[in-house]
Amino acid sequence: MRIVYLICPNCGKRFYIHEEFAGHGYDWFCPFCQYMFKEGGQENPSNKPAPSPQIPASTDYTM
Amino acid sequence: MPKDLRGHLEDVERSLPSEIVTIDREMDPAFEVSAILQQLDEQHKYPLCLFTNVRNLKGQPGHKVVSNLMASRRRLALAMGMDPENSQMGLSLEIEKRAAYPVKPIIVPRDQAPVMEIVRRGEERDLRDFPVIRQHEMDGGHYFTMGFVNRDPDRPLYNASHQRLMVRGPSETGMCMAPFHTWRIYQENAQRGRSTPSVAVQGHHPLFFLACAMRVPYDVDEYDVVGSLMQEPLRVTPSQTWGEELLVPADAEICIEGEILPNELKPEGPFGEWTGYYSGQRQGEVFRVTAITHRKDPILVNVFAGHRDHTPPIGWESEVFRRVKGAVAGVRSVCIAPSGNGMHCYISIDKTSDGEPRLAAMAAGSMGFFKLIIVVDSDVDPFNEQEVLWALAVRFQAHRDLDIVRGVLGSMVDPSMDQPRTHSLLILDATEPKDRPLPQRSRIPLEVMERVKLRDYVAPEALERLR
Repeated sequence: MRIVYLICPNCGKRFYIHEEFAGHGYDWFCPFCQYMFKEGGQENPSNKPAPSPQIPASTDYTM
Repeated sequence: MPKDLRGHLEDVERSLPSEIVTIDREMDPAFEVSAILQQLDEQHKYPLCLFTNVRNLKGQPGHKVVSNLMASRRRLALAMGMDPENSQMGLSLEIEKRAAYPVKPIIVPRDQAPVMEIVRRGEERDLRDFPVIRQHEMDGGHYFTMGFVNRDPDRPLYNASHQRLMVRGPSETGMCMAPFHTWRIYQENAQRGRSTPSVAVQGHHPLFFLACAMRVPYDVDEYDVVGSLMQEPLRVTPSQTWGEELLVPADAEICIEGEILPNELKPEGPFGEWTGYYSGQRQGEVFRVTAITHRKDPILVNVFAGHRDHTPPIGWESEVFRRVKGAVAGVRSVCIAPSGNGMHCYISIDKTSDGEPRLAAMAAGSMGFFKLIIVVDSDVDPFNEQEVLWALAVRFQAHRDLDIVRGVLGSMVDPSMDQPRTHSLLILDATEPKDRPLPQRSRIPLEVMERVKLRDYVAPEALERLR
């Protein structure tokens, strides 16, 4: 498994994605603060804050 | 009574009371349940844990979670109706024996299915009503971790597996499918532009989940395998969404009916996987929930990923044994050791010639998952890792007894892999050579061992105190 690190533009924490998905401009979310962003640190226009610390923020962008 | 989770909990309470613990204090599903399991693990204790007061994802307390359901071979033997003391090769061979005789499921009406006691459809279906566990710090969300059933697109052939489902909201989860049968069914449907009807089974008898973890050929109906392990037909009932087109296990605790959407990917993960590492975030498939059915006061089962509870290989040992038996008639025992999280396999054989250990290793290696196979003589217990390593110390020479098979299909979540999807298999022959005489193993005279018993010289209470 090869990985690529991403830095969350919101909380600054580091997490990683599988290398095979890197460089394609996909949406990602920070597992720590649930912030949605595109690769390279751009904010995802559809980003909204997580409704609850217990619920993944991805709730918001998939419903 | 049909076999189910509640019956198993009663069996363990009655027959192995020292192997079950009930925790009634209120707990957060985010990390707190895992913290308890981790601390038990650090003490090398793997009791069946029933948490009775876990908050759901709306913060409401009073929900039940079971973990470590699969963490003990003794309890799996009990679940099979066997003597818990016969939980090593005896358990695996019994699994092999039973799996050879499929038992067809029986269909019962919904009103006789406990899992249909509560039916939630439309706006009522909300995954956040359940105490879904978030296990590790960097996990992308709260994960369902148990069984997942779907069927061949063209035939009523059921496939059962374990799938992780990351809760995204009331009616959607992310998925991460390995390229096995579930993925094959998804692909066949997706190529036709169709979604894949499926049901996530989040609580049932441990033999249901053992069958989910077994590697059987695609053409084998895994509902039949559940029946063969249980030695009774699995009771199934028409799903709420697809009726008899997709039958769901009637005696489950929770069934989440839904469809894997074709050709749609969204970010999923990370998730602390069986390796003990996080698998990275990735673009994964989407599971959209169509209905949720469950018992009153349901019990959610959670696998503690990367720990003793996460040991599907118990269900593989019988398959490895069968493959090795085809190559080396003198195979005695096969252990997929917990130390390797499924990737270490130890095989004992009655060796008759020097070529047999490698034959045995190649046959086992055809499973495609192992990274280390050690072959030992039958005087070494492969379930005792210390004995295996002793054999390695005194019977093995690296220049003579070591082989590496490169480019074997591996797991995409193995952090050590530097090539996509392939790893190396290390084969170690730790058997005594046959081409020259060897000294005998040292031992106490058998007659003395029979006559001088520890219990006659050290009182049991004193023995208990000793460390």
